Amino acid sequence: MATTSTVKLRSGDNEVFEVEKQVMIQSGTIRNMIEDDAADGEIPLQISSRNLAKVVEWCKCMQHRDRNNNNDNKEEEEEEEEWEKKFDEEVSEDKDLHFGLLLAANYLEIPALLHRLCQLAADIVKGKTPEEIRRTFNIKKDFTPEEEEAVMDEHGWAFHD
Amino acid sequence: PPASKTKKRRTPILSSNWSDLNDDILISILARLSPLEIICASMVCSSWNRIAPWLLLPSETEEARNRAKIYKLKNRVCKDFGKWRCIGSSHGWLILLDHERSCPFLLNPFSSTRILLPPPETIADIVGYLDGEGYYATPSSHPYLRKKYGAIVIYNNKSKLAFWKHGEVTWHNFNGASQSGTVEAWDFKQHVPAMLMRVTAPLPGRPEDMTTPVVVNSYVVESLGSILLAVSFNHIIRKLTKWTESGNEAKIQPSPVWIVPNPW
Repeated sequence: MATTSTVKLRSGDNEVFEVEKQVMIQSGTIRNMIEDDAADGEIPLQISSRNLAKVVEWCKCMQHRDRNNNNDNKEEEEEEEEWEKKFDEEVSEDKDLHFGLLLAANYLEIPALLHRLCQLAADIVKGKTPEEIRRTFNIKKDFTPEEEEAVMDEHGWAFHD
Repeated sequence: PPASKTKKRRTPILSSNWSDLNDDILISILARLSPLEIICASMVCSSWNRIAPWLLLPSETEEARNRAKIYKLKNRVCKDFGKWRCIGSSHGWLILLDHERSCPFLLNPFSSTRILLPPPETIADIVGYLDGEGYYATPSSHPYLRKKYGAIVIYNNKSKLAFWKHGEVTWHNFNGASQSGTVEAWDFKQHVPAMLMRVTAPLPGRPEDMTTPVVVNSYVVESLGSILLAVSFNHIIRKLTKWTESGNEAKIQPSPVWIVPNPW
């Protein structure tokens, strides 16, 4: 069994985060490493320090919330809700952060975070035309004229009633 | 709701590329959207387009075999057509029969717009009821985008064709009934559909001894630039039995698919 109670995560740009194991076991990838006793040194991750910091912050908040689930501390509960709301807003407004966190949550296997981020992305897509979606996410329309015609032919009907 | 605008943008170290999202993540995002929203998303770029498939499947249970459902990503049912029977589709529109099989209509499955088609009784030489088998239909062009549209049905046990054009109240027979083993090309741009060509492909196998191939289904398929006729068939083997026993016995073998090279 590992002796220390923390893990060290090294970001792609060489920043080291020391986090409690109890917090990081929310990540399937890290949990496997801990269980295999492969988490004693630094764990190198291809995730930028900015994104990794956000992931760690999220994990801490969730772990804190789960631990306090039994207490009926209204003040703390409100604080957590406030934090989550701010997290949602920050992610929704910053498409690079959102994208980076999606990849990080997927790579680190943190299902709850991944679901949250996918829901936020879906909320952004909702009610938008293809062009609005492209503009929002800075996606280039890469259809050839023939492909575009085929796509319109295939899907254009859906917009008529 | 309007897109929330980012007031000040940080210069990204690594610019994100949302069209490069891996399939699992993208599917997880799209699966949270309504059918129409998924269609919008699938029109965004080629990689998003590739990931948004639709499936129309019959119900699995025996008693509800006539029902059709539309499935979206990850097998979630998003529309159940109840007792309607889906007999064909084209350009996103479905052709359905109501539960009494008396009234065919076109349906846009997402907007629920219906376009009634003439009742099958208006086909002059139709025999008996229309049933799902042997009755297929296809809008010959897009109902709304091209204004001119119509439908084609197959009836009388897959031996006859009839067509209908927008604005008319009856079905019309084709001049020249399609015959078993022939492939025909028809031009619908004319006022009256005109046959461009007819090709008779040899059917697989010869009736030898007591074996007769019975064509179950045939399809015209394109492969590597060639047009092929694919035929699936059963051999029905009749065994003569003694008079005292119950007569003929039919045995159906597994049906192989037979590909006839195109003759044109």
